[in-house]
Amino acid sequence: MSASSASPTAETIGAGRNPWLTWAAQHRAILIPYGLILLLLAAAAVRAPGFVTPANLRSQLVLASYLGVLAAGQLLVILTGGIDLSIAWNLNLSAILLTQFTGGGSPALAAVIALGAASLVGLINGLGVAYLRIPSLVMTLGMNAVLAGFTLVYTNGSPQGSAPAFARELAVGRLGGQIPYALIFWALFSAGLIFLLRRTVFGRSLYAIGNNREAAYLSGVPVRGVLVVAYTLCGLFAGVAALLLVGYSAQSYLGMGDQYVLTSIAAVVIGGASILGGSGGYGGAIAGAITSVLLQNVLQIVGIPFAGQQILYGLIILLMLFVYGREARVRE
Amino acid sequence: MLLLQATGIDKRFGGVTALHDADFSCDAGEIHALLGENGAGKSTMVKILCGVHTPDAGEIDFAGRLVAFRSPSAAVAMGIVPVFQELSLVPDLSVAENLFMGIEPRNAIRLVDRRAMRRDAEALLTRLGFSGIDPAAVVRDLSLAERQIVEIVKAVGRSPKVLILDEATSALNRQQVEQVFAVVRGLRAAGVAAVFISHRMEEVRDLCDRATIFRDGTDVGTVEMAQASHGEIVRMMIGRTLHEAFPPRPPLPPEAEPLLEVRGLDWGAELRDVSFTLHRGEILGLSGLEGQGQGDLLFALFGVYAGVTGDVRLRGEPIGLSGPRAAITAKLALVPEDRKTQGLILPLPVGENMTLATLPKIAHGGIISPEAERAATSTMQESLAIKTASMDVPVRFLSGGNQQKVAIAKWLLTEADVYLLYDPTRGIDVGAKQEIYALMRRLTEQGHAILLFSTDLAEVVGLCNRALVMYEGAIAVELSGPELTQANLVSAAIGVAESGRVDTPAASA
Repeated sequence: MSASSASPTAETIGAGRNPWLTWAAQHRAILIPYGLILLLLAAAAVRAPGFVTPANLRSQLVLASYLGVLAAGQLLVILTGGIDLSIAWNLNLSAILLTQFTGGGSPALAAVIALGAASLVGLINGLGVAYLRIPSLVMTLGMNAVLAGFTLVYTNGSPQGSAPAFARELAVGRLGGQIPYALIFWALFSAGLIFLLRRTVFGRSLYAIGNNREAAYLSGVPVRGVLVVAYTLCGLFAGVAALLLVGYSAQSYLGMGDQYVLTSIAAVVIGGASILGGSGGYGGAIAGAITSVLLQNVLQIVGIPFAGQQILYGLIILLMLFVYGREARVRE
Repeated sequence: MLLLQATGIDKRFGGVTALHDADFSCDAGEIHALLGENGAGKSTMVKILCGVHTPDAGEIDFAGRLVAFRSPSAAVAMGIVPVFQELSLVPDLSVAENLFMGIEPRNAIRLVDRRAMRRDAEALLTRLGFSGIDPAAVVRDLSLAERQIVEIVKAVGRSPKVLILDEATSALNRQQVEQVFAVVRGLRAAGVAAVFISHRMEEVRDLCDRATIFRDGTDVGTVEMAQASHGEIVRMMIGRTLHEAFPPRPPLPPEAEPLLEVRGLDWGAELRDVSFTLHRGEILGLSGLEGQGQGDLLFALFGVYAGVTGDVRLRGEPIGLSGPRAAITAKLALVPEDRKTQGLILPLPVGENMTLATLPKIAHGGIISPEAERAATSTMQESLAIKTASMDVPVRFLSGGNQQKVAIAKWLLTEADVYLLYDPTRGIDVGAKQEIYALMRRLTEQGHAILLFSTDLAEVVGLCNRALVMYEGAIAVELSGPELTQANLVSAAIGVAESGRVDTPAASA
């Protein structure tokens, strides 16, 4: 149970031989994704020099910020040893509620309803996982199907309404015409999340539960409560991501969340978190989100057809799992 | 005849030197003990001998050839078979499947021959004197002691040339230990070398021909057990003279205030009408045969089990038994049986493990204060003399005794009134044991109380004011004062067990 690999350790990497190698190995969860970013940019610079311009890089970062918010929720759940597959349709439903109610006249109310619904979905996921002990995979997969069906019936197949102005401003607006509000928001959000993980009782509890639920429980960690909060936050962040994406595309449409289950998990995993829970941080996930976005766009820009993009994207995720998986060779 | 020889072994883990220029050798047909304090390097040495760790320097000769094991299975293939304290059995498989894992008998079409496996398992268990263990039983359902025996049988079933027993008898009772020793002596007669690590000195005396003593990561000498005195060995181990094994036990004043009062505690068939009172300043022992409900009693009091009935009062106030969190608030502490899976979170840092049960105390509004945390952990590191490079080292890199100190430190920080301790000194060395005994005494002097379950009878006699001998979930006998002797504990446990069997013929002890 507690055999899940922790952060890279001296034992697995032959400490005491070369201090640089040791340092690199210990920080590989950060070095690898950021190294990958540089590699992708280099590839893009060779094949499509127009890609590596400040303006384009800025818009790539903005796209990464949407995914980054979503990946933050996924990270909280993965740290506990779970996974949230319901974010695809949770995001979609939230986006649709936002545009429908904005069309109905009140953008503020629309935002409250959209974020509230997304959090409620997360809360139900959390209650199911924590109290009914339904495996998160099953709970959230079922939830995703329910939400997909519900959304279809609710919208009659064609979502209505439009994006509220504040969402458009947040998603694509720029401070002084230069600094995207989305990046300012993401920076603040990241700082808050890193603080939450490192400095709060909640953050400590997540790592304790993800590594060893029994020992955490015996130490008085309120395991169920922490799980419920983690899934609820994951739902809330899916709602926030929905708000950003609605702002970006100025509308909501069916299927807008489909790609995000895989990409959010990819961002977390590329960022060095253990898919089994208990280790990883948001610093890595930020790089993971940027990598994931760059990967999709660079593959496209260098002229690989869509099918090839999909195959390469999947292979790179598997490769990352393999690279990080090697540290699990703790022989004890 | 020299069989296995390691020379000049160095091994470092991160910043910690585990072994430096350490030598060890053993002959065919001898039982050789490895002795030493916590973190002296015994476990690291055997893990190098059996391919778990790769040495940073030094060489290993086996049967006259230089060897370098790339994995534990390579060592097993050559005949070096270890049994570790931490168990390697697969809990959801049967005893037979575990015994023959990787060496399953095959039938004509190369599929696992389950019938042959079952038969061979039964034969092996019977031959080694453990016919009481059902080869078809699922390992998860066995007691810790039975699992440890299966582990040993599994190793013996692999026809070892060198059998390594690293604290492999720590969960066994006396009779089971004797049975295991008979097996090991049989192997010795057949020319097998056995390397034995145990913190029970009597067992080492009883079993071993020679002993090599480790201190601070290197070997400090090898002695013939028949000639070496106890004092001499202990001096070599700790480099100083050991005082009295147990700290002096002040008598409990008759007017001592009752702290924990338990009346009519029931939990299914596991706990039956358990009643006792624990006083301020008292250490109350739990004894009896393995698995008679002692562990369940501690868990039940800590609120882990649902459906426990009975009246439990702490300082006169009823407590709800609703879970660890409520128990901690009520100032109860539980140091559980298995520090590796229950007591600690091995991949997390030492400091985070220590403060896990006191997070609300070192935090304001859910935000942890680094100063408060550092203060708490450094106080504990100092007062318990915990050896660690820093508070940020994953706790699994610490030696067994230091790990246990961290597990205890976690509960000292909660400033509990009543400490429920489950075998707190199992598998740790003499020096660390001493420190834990002294700590227990300090706690009682401060007016706290301890409910101690120990498989080590000497501990129960040496530390406790009174002892409750349990049988099948009920308290059978209470011993105190001059009656509290090892002989009486044993005869109470066995006497009760025998009469119990007469009453309930279907019961299996």
